[in-house]
Amino acid sequence: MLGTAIQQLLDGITLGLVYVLLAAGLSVIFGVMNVINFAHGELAVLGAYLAVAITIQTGIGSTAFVAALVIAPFLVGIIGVALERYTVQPLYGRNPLYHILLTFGLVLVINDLVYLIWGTGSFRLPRPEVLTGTIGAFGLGVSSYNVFMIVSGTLMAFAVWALLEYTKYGLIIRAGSQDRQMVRNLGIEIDRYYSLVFGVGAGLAAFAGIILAGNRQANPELGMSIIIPAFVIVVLGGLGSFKGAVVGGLLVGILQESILRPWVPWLEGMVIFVLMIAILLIRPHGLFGTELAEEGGSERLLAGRAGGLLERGTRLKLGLVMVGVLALVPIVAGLLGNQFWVTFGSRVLVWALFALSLDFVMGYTGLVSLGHALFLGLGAYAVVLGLIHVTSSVFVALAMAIALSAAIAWIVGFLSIRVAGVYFAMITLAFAELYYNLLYRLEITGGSEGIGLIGHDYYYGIAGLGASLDDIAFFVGPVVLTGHSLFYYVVLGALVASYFVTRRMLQSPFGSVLKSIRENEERATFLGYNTVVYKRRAFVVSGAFAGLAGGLFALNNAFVSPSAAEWLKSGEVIVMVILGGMGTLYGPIIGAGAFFGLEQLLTHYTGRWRLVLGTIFVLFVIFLPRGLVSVPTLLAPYLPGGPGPAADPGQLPEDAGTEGDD
Amino acid sequence: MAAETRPHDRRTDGETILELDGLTKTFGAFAAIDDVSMTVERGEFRSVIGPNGAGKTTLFNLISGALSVTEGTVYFDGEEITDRSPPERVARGIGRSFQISNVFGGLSVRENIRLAAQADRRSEYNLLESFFKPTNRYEEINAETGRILERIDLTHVAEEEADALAYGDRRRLEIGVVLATDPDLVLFDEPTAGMSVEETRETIDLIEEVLVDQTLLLIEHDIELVMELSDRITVLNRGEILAEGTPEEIAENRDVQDAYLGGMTE
Amino acid sequence: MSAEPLLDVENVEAGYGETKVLRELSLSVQEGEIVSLVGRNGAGKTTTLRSIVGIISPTSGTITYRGTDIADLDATETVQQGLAFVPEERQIFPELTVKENLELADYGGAPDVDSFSIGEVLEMFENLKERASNPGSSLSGGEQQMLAIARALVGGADLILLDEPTEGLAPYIVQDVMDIVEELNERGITILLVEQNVHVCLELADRNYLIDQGEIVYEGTSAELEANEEILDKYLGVTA
Repeated sequence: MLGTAIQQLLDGITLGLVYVLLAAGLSVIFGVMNVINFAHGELAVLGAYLAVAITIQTGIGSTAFVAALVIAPFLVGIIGVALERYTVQPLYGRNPLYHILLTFGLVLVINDLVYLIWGTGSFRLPRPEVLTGTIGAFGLGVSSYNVFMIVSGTLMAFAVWALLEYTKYGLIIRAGSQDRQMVRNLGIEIDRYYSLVFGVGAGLAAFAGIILAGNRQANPELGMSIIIPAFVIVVLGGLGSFKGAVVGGLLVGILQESILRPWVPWLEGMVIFVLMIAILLIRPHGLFGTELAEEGGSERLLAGRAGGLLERGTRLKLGLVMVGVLALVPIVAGLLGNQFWVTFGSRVLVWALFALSLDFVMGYTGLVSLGHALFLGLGAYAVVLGLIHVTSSVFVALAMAIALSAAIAWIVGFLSIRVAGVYFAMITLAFAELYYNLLYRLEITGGSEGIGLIGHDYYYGIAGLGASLDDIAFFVGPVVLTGHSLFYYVVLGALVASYFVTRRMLQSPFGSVLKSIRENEERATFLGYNTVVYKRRAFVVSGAFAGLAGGLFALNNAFVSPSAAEWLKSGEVIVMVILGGMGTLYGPIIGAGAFFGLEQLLTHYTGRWRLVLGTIFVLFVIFLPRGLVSVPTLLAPYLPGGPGPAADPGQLPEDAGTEGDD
Repeated sequence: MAAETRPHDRRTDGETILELDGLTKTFGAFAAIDDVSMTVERGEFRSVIGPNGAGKTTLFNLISGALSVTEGTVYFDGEEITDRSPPERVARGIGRSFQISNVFGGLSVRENIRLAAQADRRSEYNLLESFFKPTNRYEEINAETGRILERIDLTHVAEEEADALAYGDRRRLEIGVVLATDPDLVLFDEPTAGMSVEETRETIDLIEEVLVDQTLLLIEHDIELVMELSDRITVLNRGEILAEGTPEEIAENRDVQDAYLGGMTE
Repeated sequence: MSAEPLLDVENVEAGYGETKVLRELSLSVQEGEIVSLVGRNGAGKTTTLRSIVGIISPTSGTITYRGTDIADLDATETVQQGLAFVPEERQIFPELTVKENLELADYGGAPDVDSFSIGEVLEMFENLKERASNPGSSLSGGEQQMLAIARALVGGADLILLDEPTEGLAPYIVQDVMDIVEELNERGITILLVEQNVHVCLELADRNYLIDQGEIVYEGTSAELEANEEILDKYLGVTA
């Protein structure tokens, strides 16, 4: 009994040390540069794969293992330096949330690169023979690899600590995380050290990834699964604190492996998010962090600018033409006998609605929700469970989805909107992850299998009046519109209606206050507006529309699984909003079109389309943060003299129309 | 410098509008405001002066609600407001002016004023209307907006973006926005910082012209101006009230001169 | 005073965002002088120093140091040229020890200027020596000011810009700070001192500039300024 407990404790410490190494880099990078690096987990994975490649090249054995352990982190460190210099650096001086967006783009790029180079299989780093056995002590057998992980992890953590504490570089870095301007005032070019910090952080992450890959099966998804706990630890320990990363890492490692997994496995994966939410609400600066004045936090997010070229009336007409073209899609598809464009179109329109909902809160109040998939997932499950257990009316089920999402949005908003900027982003992420993990645990949601609507009858109507879409048919010339084609119109109708409802809201007193908050929140407060209440209302509206999108998402697939609420979905919808241009309502719709148009286009050539998408997204964040809708304004000065010097993202507007052209 | 030539036409009726009782604000061990008690009469023009770090801005933040008090009480119009949020205080009639770069630059001049009027006349629409009834259909609010635009003489540029306004017009807009919140008391924290002598003069004249019916509380570093305009002056030093009185009384106060000249051991 | 000045500020305009703080401000400092810039709260004193050292860049005008134009240099670069800036808030790193604060200054500063060693500085400031391994956050206001000045010495500077060094200090510590400034000057360091406390300026400075609304309104030796009651009253006093 005691033996097992000690074994579990050792497992906890082993994992904890991996977390310590990951979180230390994340935390110091944040402390010095105010950058939240979402790609940190991917750098760990990259390290693990490089290590495998090196051991395979040099032959499996102790020498190869040691070589891999030294060379791979070094290579990843160099990659880290390059990333800092060419992608992170151009964004200093902008709102720190742009770094979150940028590094999310890097996640897509690096993740797909790993797939592209090394394939989808999982692997385990070949360990040298010395480390494969067990060491007997006190009547227990401890795996010698675990001992190796504990020893090497501790040594590494000590090395970092000594570097920070006793070297010139460490002193400058510590000073930089306290007061950057004063370091500059002493004649030290602190900016030169940023690359170094980023590089060392990347190297540490790689080391952590490598030793972990010798301990358990690793695959390209590893990065996504370790980055979230690493964030929890950084928040727990205090953003910017090395000590916090050490204590937080061990705490979470032990909590996960030594307490939750053996004793209350049902709660595993959820407790840490509850912990994270509690810490953010009660003590946002964590256990050891100092309260930071968020530097650059006052910089606004860059909203898309409506193309100043077009008159208001012209834009309205253009919009109507677009809707008209979209309405023709099922008919044209019917004529061509190709139903693909109908299902594809439905998917795009659902996501366009989802992006619209996010933009309402992000573009108009500056609250970046990193967990908007929470509402997509809530809406999706509400509709499916509603149709199975409560009603057979789709409209009632959708109303339930909207109401539930709005109610949860109110609660999340009530708890989170008091904390600003980066902290808000983190807390919404935590709520979404909590829900995501809960979906796996609950019986009613069908666990990881999800649940489907096949075999359940439902109809479009209310109070028993209505029909299943399959039972209705419209004849347009030679084309029969039924089933999926009619569902396409349901989604199109929902999107157009949502657009007009949100637009109306923005023209009302509520919307005018949101715009004033976007311009200058402090001033809005001193006009007498309780801005927290207005932001929460915007969040509820956004949650409601996201819930509707979720409901349609589930209906479109006639099925829902936990992946509807995964954080990748939250990231993708942000990508769409930025691609299109936030703060314009129609921008995100164009963004969704561009996103899927691009996917469609690229999948013809490569299965790894996210690589290209991620790259384009990174370029957008750096060079075109106001999105596609700002392209006409940017090109305007060049137009009379012919086509201007189109930047590479400039060719995108054609893709944006893909879904309408067919 | 003569008090009888004060240009404004203010009336005080002896009624107290603002009362601070034993107000204290500490940051860690440091008391930025230390047991400050004062009263301001309705209609008064009161200035708060004091050397750097005396706690003037902190005092304003405690009155406007931007900071919470550590100890003590704030009464406004006979009601205790110590724990009220800034928006609640604005609704009760405490307005706060900002420096000119603080209007909503991306919104039109009309929209700037309208937002303030909309905040003040919240009783004229319900929650549902606030979500769905377009702003151009609220007659009272729009009429009030129009009146204020006339008053500050910006009707001709009402549809321009605030950022596009000339310097002087932007200053008018700023004061118009404060006026539109319909305040009884307006706090001005160095409204003329960074302005030339003429600009300062014009700004003060405008404040006096437009806000003649309001009680004014002003932080200002230009002592000459303060002497000329104020009904009474409160002098802060190291978080405490050093002196209070008419400009004449303050001018003759030895403690005040010492505080300004440095409080050195002679 | 006909020699080429060490620091020459000419017609500088500067501000924050759209608020203009300095208007055509000109002043100069000769090598070996103590020059004061005195004025009321909000007159533009700190902004002048911040423009010189390069924390903000002037919108127009020139700033020359030893004959080279430094108007467009940032703070790091000007400090490397031999200027040191001791800010009003002192900006001691709270979580670094006194010794680490000094070591950091040693890494920075001006490479071509003779500087004090950490040991020399600790001899000079005995309080700091006692507290060498205490964190910056544990220092009193006076000790923080000493450390801020000590950092400038360790980095190496020919010209130190001191922003309100006596602010918030008890009178006997004010005297200590003044003694230190004089001692530094005797050792050949030029000082540009910003003060609200006119007594400090009159006692220390060779020449004084009076600043009001972002413009220099008076220049004179301490004796001249002390005798000019009209100017003192108009720009600094409260009697009218």
